[in-house]
Amino acid sequence: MTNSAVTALAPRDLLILAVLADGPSHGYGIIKSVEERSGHDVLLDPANLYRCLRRMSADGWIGEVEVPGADERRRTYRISHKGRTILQAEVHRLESLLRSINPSLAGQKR
Amino acid sequence: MILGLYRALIRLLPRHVRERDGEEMLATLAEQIAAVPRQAGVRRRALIAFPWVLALEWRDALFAKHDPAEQFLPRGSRMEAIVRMIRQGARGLARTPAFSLSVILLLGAGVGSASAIFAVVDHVLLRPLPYPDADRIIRVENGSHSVPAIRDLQAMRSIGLWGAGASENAHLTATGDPLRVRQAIVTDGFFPLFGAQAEVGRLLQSADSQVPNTAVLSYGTWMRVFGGDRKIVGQTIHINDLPVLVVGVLSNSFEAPEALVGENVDLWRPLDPAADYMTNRSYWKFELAGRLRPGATLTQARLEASSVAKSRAALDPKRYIDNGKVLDLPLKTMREATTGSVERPLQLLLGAVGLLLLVACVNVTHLFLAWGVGRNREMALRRALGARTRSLVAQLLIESGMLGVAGATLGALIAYAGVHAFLTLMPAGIPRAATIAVDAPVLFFAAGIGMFTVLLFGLLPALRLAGRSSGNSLRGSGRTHSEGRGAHRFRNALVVGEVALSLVLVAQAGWLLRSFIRMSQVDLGFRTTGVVEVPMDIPARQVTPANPGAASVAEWNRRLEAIRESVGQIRGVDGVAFGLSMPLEWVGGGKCCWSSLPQFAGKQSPERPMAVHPVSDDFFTLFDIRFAAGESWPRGTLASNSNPAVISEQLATQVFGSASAAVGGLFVLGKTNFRIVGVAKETKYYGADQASGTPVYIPTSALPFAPDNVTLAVGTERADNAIGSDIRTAIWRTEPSLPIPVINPVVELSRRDSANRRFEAVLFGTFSVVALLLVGGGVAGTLLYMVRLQKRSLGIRLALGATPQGIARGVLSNGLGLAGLGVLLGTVGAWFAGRLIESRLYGVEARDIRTLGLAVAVLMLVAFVASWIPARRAAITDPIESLRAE
Repeated sequence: MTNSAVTALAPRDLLILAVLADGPSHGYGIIKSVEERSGHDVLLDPANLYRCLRRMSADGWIGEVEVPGADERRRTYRISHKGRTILQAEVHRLESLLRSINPSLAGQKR
Repeated sequence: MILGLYRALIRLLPRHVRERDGEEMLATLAEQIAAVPRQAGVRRRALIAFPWVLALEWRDALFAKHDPAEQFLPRGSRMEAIVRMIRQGARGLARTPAFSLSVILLLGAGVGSASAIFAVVDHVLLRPLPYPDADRIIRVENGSHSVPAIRDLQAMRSIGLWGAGASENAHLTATGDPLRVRQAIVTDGFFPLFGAQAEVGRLLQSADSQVPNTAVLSYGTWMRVFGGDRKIVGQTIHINDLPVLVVGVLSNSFEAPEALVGENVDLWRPLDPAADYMTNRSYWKFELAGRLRPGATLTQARLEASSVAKSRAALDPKRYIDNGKVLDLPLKTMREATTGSVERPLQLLLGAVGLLLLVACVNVTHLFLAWGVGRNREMALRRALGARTRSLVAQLLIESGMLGVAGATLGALIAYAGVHAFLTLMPAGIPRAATIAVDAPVLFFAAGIGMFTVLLFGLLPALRLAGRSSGNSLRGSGRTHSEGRGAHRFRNALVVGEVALSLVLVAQAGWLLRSFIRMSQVDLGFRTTGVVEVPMDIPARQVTPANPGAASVAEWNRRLEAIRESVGQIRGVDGVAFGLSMPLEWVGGGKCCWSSLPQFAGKQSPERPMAVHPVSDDFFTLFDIRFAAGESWPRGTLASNSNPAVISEQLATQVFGSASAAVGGLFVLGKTNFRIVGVAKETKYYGADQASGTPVYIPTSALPFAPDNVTLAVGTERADNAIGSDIRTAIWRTEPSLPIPVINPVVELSRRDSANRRFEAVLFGTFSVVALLLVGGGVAGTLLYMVRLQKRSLGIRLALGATPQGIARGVLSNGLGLAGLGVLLGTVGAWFAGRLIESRLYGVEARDIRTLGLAVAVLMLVAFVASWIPARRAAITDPIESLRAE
């Protein structure tokens, strides 16, 4: 997948990928981390979360991990190689976007 | 509890989603709640988000292949898939036109009638009144109130804002002929209380009540009379011959509070500080409403009002204690005061139409069952050829969805027509009637119940039963395919249910029709044919500055005698009478009549005030009112110390023991003495179903005051259209400034009197005829379908020697048996439903057995006719034919 194939990610998707990039997590863990990272801006409910996770799994952005000895019912997700690429591409896109905006922002402040 | 709800919601997800993530979702929500137990946001978010995700998942499951690559397909292909399915659905429906058409018609009839009545109920009962804080507005009940009494109430702390109003007839002269209009006199608080806005100019201000010659026009009057001319504001018009300045026009959206000022108010005036009603406690003129202060409750307000009632009764017991009881000041919410009286009848109508919809639904189920059996075989075939369950279910959903849409559309059209018919036939006095229309919520309702009906009563049972009844649908040959026992029983139960529901409807219609007939047969006690009534306003000339000294009853009588003489000269007029009110004049609402309490000399006087009818001498002759004793007073009698009077037979019996004993009796009314010269038989003055009361008739010359309205009664057998204009011309000859008088034939008033009952009887009658047709269709359809299923076994039985008559009898008794069972259940239902309409019946005992019996007979007859056709069909089965067909 090339950079151009990824148009802007929804903040929700971006945050989920970012959370998983820090290490595998399960449903509630993801919700909590997303909430904390976004400063309680992005609040998730189970239905939407799992719909996202299903789509990302289907697209191969994330995968599941077997955690030995853990509660069998709880599924733990990890980011895949493809997912990491997409996250990096999106971060790169946002950074270059910010760079192009920043000087003018700074100008306004002054 | 929330988790249980969420678990139930998860069950609605498509299976692959549910099985994959259902448990996880539930566990995650549980953790979220456990982490922040008090936070409602988590729960709310979870519940709000769910339906949306649910819809998306189903969309994906039904219309998209479950292929990750699908996410990146252009949108068009998904649209194409939908279009293809719709086209396929339309083809499928076109293959079974009889089925499709029947379902659409049934749905249309059911949905249409239900939506039409819903439109009425929604606008009249369900929509909040269009006032700020409408649910906190209360009305003070127990009749009208005098201005001083309103001032007493203003001490209440729980009410923050008061508004009072009274409406009366007036005549308006702007350009050309005077117009008869309705004017409302309102207090300062009235417009703020009801949130009125001005379209042009301003509304009334408190300064206006210092100089009362200002007026605000209603929007409709502004349009109708002044053609929407904005320049009217600031101009002077004449009301009752007095100059009045127009200061503004109300906005079109203002819905006048009918509970205060009635319908069709044309103009709005401030209180007149010099008027008698400002100080006179006997002037019970105004209707009063107020808004509760923030934080105050209705209970508090009620307590305060009743303490006001008690304290004023203590100060003025003569006026405020009636028959030993303090005249209370009960409070009602504005909503209840406005629509309380029609709540029950409208609910009954909604119930009736609901029954009809149910009967239609039952027929839809019938049709879908037969259809489902056929489709089941097709589905099995397609599945065997590799089609996926998902796409098959989608196909069925689309087909029935299309039927639902078509049925709902037809229903919406029928609802439009139905509402139109309702508004035309509707009896007067339905509050908020002007707002009734088919609008978005009503259409939404129609669409909703259309789809709901198709899915719940059509597709669902069809799918379940078709699936259950045939283990392997491909095995049967179709001609001999037979339903499972379950389907058979279900089908029979439907027929029984539909018969039962219809019986409830038919019985109610019967009772209502019977009471309507009873009412039409009531002897009113006076002549109704060949009499017209002309209500007129004779504005009290005494208040005109130009004519200050003319105030007297004698003057009033003189003017009316002149009118009488003038009208009497018209060709074909055989009598003219006048009085404060005439028989049937107050049908359909309004405030009737003057009441007073006569004191009979040397007798025990009655305890309650009664209606006093001041009438002219030939009133009794004109209306053919019969006398039990004595006679009317002759023309021109004006005894110096006692006036003649006629009392009703009931009053005579009550006070004097008999009619003849009353003649010559004396009584005092107010300060005037009367001598009874005649005792009149009972008259239904206020309507056929109203109590006759114990009226007293006195000569108009004995009136203690000069009223500003009067009604003329003209006896004439002429039926030509010119009679109206002849009467008007004759009136104008002596009273040129009177507005165009309304001419009401008494026959018409009498029709209006029974309009309510006629209306209910017609509506229920229509519903039950439709229900009977549906039942007939349902029974015939079911039996025909069974006969078709059993064709082979019928053939065998015929081949084995059964007679066609025997076969026919079997089918017939099958149909009648089901109907009989339905009738049995329906009788029980009708018995309970009878209690609901008990209060609406007149002259018929609620649950009148004969009517119920007739309803049963009608239903059995319908069932017989409906069974006879399939029975004949079964009897003419050709055994060779049906066996060869195998």
